[in-house]
Amino acid sequence: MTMRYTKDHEWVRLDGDVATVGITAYAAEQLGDVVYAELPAVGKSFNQGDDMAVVESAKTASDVYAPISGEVVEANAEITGENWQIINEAPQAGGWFVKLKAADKGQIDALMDEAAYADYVKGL
Amino acid sequence: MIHDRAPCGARCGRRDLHIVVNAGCKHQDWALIEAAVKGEANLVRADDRCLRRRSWCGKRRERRDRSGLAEMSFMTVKRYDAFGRITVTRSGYTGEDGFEILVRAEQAPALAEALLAHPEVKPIGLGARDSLRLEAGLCLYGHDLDPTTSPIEADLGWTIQKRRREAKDFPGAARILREHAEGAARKRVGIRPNDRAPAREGVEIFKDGRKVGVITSGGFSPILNAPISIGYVETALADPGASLDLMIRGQPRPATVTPLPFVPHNYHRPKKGS
Repeated sequence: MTMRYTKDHEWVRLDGDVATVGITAYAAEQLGDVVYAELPAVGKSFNQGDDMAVVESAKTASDVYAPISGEVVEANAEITGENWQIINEAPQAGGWFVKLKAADKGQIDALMDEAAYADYVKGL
Repeated sequence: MIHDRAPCGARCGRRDLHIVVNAGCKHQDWALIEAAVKGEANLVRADDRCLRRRSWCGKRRERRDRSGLAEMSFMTVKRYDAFGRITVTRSGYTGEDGFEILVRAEQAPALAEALLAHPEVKPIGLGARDSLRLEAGLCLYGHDLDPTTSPIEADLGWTIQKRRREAKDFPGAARILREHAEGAARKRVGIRPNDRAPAREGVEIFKDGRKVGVITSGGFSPILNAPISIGYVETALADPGASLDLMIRGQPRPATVTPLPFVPHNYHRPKKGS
């Protein structure tokens, strides 16, 4: 399944019922070197748009919002193991944040596809 | 603030004081200075000047230097006939060796371009400057200082000379001298979180569940590869080594009071006679 994107620069990719979530390459680039990140515990549920995680660079602290509603089934062990670099190195692959059991898959279809997100970023 | 005792010449006996004020405070500062000097000095605005900073890295450049810049000590000033007329001070707000250059605004782009033409020179922005001043333990006005803060609370008592303390003739003298003698209720300190989560401005500081202060600046030190903060705590808890809790996103996280600066200053102060 292809990636979908939010205006807050999260990406989401659905595999079956489980959506992998992270921040976009654009967001990682804007933040600069990530120095800290805080992920939610497995079992926590979020509504779409809730504060879900925090990512901090030398410059700033940023909230990461839940791009869809769902329950956390896995947090990226690379990040909880303090390998923050992976967020800069591979934001849209190994630097994923959490996997959510999607409550409503329809929410994903309503997000931007790659071309729409590229246009959105160009306009910022 | 740059003190410049102009060289003795035709105008022997005259003294100039150049003051570079905080851009955000210039109107109120002007009014204060104007009221304070009434009749004793002429005030001249220089709104057409702007400030450029550069850090000084490496010895190679010093060997080629014929301008006398290399011999300058920290907090001294020279003038040059270049880019119109520029004033160069070996100062800055980074804790590092470096220069600040006052240049006429219309010459500033040419000066910046001339500096950037050197392959060793890279431009930086205020974010990088903020990391440096935080590592150096230097206050940022509007964050670590505001109109209610006294220099004693801010641990800046050294800025008031003994002569002035004895004369008691400066604004705020009653409060400042009382706090100098008896200590202030709160004090500005360096604080290092024990884990990796940065504690930024506004984070509340607790001790045994009781609020005892607040973080006024915080971020991440690239040099120490660790988070660092500046904040105010009750004076009884301000000694280096004191354990505190920082309330970050609703979670108390342990932290330790740490001497400032976090990273030693690297100012250029040649030894006398060398």
